[in-house]
Amino acid sequence: MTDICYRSISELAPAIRSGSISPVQLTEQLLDRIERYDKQLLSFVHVAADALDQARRAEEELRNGHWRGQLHGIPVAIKDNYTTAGMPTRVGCPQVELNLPDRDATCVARLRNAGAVILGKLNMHQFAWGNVTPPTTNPWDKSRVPGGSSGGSGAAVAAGLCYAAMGSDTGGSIRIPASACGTFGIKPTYGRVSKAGIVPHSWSLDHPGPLTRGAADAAIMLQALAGPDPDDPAAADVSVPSYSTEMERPLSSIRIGVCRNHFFERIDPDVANAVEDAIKTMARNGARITNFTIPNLTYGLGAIFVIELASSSSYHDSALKARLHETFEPDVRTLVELGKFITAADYLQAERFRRVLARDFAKVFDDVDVIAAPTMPITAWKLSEDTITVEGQQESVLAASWRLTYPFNLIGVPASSQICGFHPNGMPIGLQLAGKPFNEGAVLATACAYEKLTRWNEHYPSLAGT
Amino acid sequence: MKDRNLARPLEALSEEVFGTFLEPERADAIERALGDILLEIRRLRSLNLSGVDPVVVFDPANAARGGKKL
Repeated sequence: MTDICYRSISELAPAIRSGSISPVQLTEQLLDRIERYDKQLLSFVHVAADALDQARRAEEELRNGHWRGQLHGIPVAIKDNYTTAGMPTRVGCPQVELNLPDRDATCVARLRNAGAVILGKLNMHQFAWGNVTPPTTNPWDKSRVPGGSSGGSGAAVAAGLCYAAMGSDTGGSIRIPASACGTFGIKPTYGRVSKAGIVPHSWSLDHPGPLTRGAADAAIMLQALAGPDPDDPAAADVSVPSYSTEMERPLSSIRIGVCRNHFFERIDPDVANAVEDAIKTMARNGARITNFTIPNLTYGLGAIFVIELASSSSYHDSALKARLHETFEPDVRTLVELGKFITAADYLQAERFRRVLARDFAKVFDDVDVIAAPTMPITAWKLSEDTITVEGQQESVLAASWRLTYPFNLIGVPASSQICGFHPNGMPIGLQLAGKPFNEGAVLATACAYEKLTRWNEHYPSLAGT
Repeated sequence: MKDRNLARPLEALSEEVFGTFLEPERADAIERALGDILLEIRRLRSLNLSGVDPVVVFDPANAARGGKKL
């Protein structure tokens, strides 16, 4: 039987509801696990002092016959760029006084209302700028990075320190750690989940979303998180379907598109083979496969750089004026300074390009339900590595790691990552799925069907020696 | 940047044009980081986008509400 720390939320929920599993015992076990294993993983930056009190309240409610839903009594954790009542928010930047509000971001409030126990805050790459997340390590190999910027979220979920974690994704920051750590992660459609109370990185590219150990658990999280929010100007007034119903859709009804340019160029051969095998597995089980190309993807990197750099510098303008950025990590400081040199004309060229790219993908989505691709061209890299060589070409790990994820931030569509095998180096490989705007259901249904066929998500890292 | 033989160094342009003061050592770091990014931006600039509006649009009613939804 699976260790209780690795059980799915969908398995635990009925047991909690019936009283056979206690939220207090569950929370105690995870707190003990954090104490035991997180000394080396360093995924948590703050453990909630009231976690057990929250669990006791959840248990009391159940005794009184009040069940809030599938997240009732489930311990989850939050990336440290979501503001939280009663817990500090440091955005990966403990040395700078940020004076962020002591109140729950909309997502955190919605998780509490759904009955979740908020265990604590998770480490992230400073200001969500980067894919390394120091000093957090990867539970599969502690000499490797967990990805980023939601690296604490990926590491904590993979290590069984929480059942789900919130991340945020501006160019891949949910999907990259999900791929690096072998978890599930989904960036919903832009506007599907409120950004209110999340420290901005790039207003029109930031997507909040959950990391979990499987697609069904992500659907449960998304059900609690999604929906309009008056506090977020970008939150969409679009009705939220029942994701559990949408996930029943069989693979035989799913049309999968495979973009043969960009997403399959300069890929580690073992990563490419694992993703091709995943596509073949889905095809053998009824999915229809269509290949296509989008030549305009060649302009995407310039566009996302321009928007991210300019937005980040604008957000940090007061820090730049007060010279607080001099205390930022060197990589982040340079990027924040760099944004000052982006011209308005280039920024608007990028915003115009997004419309072109969105139209290109919309035409593809006339004929397919989801797009399948690798999440990263590589697996989690060594902590000491700044560059990698793929197909004889040297590339910075930062450039390589987000090369296949940022297109879906530019066009704002839902995109997920899940494990589809292991590299000979022992690290998980990520399969990325993307869907039409506001059709998270097709992405989750495809992901869930693939999971059931392969069970890759039921492999867990050994934490012995941690 | 250096291959374009700019008459004025980045730190001088920085304060006057971009409104930010850069020490010479920071200018070096910025120039190094800009290298690869500029290649991508030049490629983006080469794209003809006549007749295409930016994807982020102005919503005066929403702006007047301070971004709050009705």
